[in-house]
Amino acid sequence: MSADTDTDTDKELVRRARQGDGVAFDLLYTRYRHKVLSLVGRYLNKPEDAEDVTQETFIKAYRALPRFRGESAFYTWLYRIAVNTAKNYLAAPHQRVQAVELDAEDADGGEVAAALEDDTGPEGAARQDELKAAIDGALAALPEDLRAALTLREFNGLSYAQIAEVLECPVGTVRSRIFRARAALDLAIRPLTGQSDGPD
Amino acid sequence: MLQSQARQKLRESLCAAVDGEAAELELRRVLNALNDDAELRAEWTRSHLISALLRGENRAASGAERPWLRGESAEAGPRAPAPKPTRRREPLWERWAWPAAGAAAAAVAALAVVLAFLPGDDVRAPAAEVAITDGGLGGGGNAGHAAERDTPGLARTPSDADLRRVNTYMLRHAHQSSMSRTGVAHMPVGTAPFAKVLAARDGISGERPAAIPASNRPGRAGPR
Repeated sequence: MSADTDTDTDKELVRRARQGDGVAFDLLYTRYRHKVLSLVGRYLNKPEDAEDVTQETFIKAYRALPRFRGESAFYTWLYRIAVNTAKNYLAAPHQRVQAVELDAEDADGGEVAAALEDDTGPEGAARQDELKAAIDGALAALPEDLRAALTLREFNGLSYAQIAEVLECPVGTVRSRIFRARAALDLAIRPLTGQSDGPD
Repeated sequence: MLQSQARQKLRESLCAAVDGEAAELELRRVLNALNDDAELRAEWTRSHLISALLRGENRAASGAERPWLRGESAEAGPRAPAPKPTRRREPLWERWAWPAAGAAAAAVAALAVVLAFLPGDDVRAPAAEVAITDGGLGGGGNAGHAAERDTPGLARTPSDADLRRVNTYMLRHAHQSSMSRTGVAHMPVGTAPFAKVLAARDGISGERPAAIPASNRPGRAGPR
């Protein structure tokens, strides 16, 4: 996933969401929620505020999506909404972000509201720590070739073609290695996410 | 078996879609599958969670995690007023200690100059009596005065060595006082030039100056 370029995945998801596909917007939400949360967290002091602002950001984006012309990348557009929402929140901190109730039309659109889970608070933090430890352990246990491919992708943001060049192997091999690496990490965190049964 | 292989291929396509590396048709196939397959959607969510965890984006940065954000908002937002620095109120003795020490140093320096300009034993005794008793120096470590404790208030006639030692000490003390950390505000008026004149004239070693012709000799009160 590249945050600074509009990928085909984003374009297709936006196209579908604009056509009223609520699942597509839900996928966009799960795709960018962490990035937006991290971004607004830099503007705000309290994690619970960041969570509220993140929610409002996505609600605004959902409602404004029909007006999104695609002149900029989706994430850039979403980024602007997030920054403006955070700034507005800081300018009027007494006006708490109101609990947004999706109207009937919005609610029909997808699972956004259900997906707005809250990871703040001590329990959320403990859960995140647990997940992080599981990920770190699983990453360390990966075979070298898988770890190298995933690391170049996640930490360095290289494309599959660039990773193939670095590791001197075909792009298909890179793709396979990243998939296997991610599957191993997925296996490690799945019990912690309450989704123990899944495809293997 | 075939179904399992197809599932595996679909998951691999999902992984590529997460990275924005899926081909157009492959992407459509994955997105169509995501519409109907809750398990695949959960895997999509976990894949992004994995990325966020690896990149440290998994939680909102809080003030508790980044102490330097505490008390101030981000650069774009209105900044909370910085807490006013509370200046520690000095105790009374501390406020007067440095000026008093400076004044004492000035007095001692003046006395040292008087001593330096007095050549004979006949006139040295009364001045030395003041210089070597316990007043004005804060009682700390000045050499040569401990011996006089056995006859308090009654000074013996100091030797030349005593006078040179006292003179040296006085000059250095006056010079250091003028350069003290309290700066100009607490510096006794006239101390620095006074000490510098003496230092320039006699050398900082504090050696007693050569005999001054009687015609040029100042009065007993010393230079003003």
